[in-house]
Amino acid sequence: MPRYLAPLVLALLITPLAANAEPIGKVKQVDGDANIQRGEQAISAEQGLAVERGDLLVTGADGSLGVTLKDGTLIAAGPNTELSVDDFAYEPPSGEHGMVATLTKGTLNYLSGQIAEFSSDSVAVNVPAGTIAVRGTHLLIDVEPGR
Amino acid sequence: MSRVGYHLKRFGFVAIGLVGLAACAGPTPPAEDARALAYSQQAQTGYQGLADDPPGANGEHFQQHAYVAAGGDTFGPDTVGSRDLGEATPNATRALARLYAAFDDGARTRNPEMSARAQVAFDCWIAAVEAGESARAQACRDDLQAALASLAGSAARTTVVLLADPDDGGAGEADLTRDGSTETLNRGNTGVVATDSGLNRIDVSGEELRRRYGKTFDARPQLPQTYVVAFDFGGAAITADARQVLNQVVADIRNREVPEATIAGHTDTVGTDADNEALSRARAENVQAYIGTETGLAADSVDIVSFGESRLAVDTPDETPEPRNRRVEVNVR
Repeated sequence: MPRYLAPLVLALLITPLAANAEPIGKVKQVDGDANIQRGEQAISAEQGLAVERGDLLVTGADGSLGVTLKDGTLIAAGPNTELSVDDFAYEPPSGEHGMVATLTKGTLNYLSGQIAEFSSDSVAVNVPAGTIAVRGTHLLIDVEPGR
Repeated sequence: MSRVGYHLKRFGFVAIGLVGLAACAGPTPPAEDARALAYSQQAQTGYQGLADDPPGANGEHFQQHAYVAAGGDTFGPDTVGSRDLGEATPNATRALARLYAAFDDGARTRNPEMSARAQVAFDCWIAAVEAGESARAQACRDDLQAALASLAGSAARTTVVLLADPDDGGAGEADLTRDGSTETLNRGNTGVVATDSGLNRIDVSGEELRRRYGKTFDARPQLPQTYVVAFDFGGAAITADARQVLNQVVADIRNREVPEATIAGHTDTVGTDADNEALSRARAENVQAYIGTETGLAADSVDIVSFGESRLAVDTPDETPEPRNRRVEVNVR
């Protein structure tokens, strides 16, 4: 299979669970204007707030947000950022592992956790310019949407 | 072509002349806001410059433009058809389309000075082409291109940089794929930039990254830390050695503002899978109880996983006692 298809196949394999309230991580750091958009609801991000699958992390011009996912993945969203965690599966010891996130604008500092260690080609970050397949470990992604 | 161009040019001239008179006759220039004023002022300056030093015999033409601009009216660039441009006609048509696209996109509101500059440069260019003044045409065209590029704004741009791992300085691997083409990154501080023109490799310095993305890096949560707690053969009790490690775990948890932990129990390969699953769970639960008592860490901040003998730290044959496999791994995050 061509490598570039992997994230697509992955996206199909990980079944998104509708209205899943199970937390997949927690907000560990907040600075300035930072919210979590959950469906219609905009929740002001605070330390300890649970992050759920499908959440959209939104920061303002002076905002930033740090989240640790259950597998130890670290996510830092810089100012003026919109990042959604579309899919996250971490079911040790036997289950499927994977993560799909989408960065539509702004900056993401990503440090991989157990998922990327257990199964390579199971972490993908979608950006407007294409798809980033992450096999570890530490990335900085900057999306300037242009004007 | 030439004659049609001539007539259109005359027509354009007269029409603008009338608008100019109307504007002059009006009471106050309708400078509705600062942006409209900025546009008018820049247009007036630009056209006056052309009127004073016209390409070809266009002094009067551009003087009229300057008057209209001074009156505060917003008007468009000269039409391609108003000039006899010969082979340059397609280029001029494309440039005019780009200019109008920028205007339609709100460029005159967003960047009125640059919009006026682009319009003046366009009019200058086609006048110079018609007059056969190639150096002047080139200069005005360069100015137009620069203004258009500026009006188009920053293009969409995605940068992916692979960084050194924070703990050991190594680097992982990632790739960016677009439209079937892929760039793979496998060295620290290398990146790929995706723009409309394609994918380009870059090298970046740590200082540059720090300067540009400091706020992002500062938002990164504390690194998770893994501790290995050892157990006696077949046992799940917390030993004196285990307690030493667990006290480090406790200190780490107390140091974090939003502590969470995953506690994973393991066994060696002695015994059945089912027994070892249960043993690994008992070990993990004893560790959780110890941590819970010492730190008050709530159960909903702790995940317990039992691996039995399915994930050995040291590969051994079945039914092999191995102290390094009898363990609980505590990941604090």
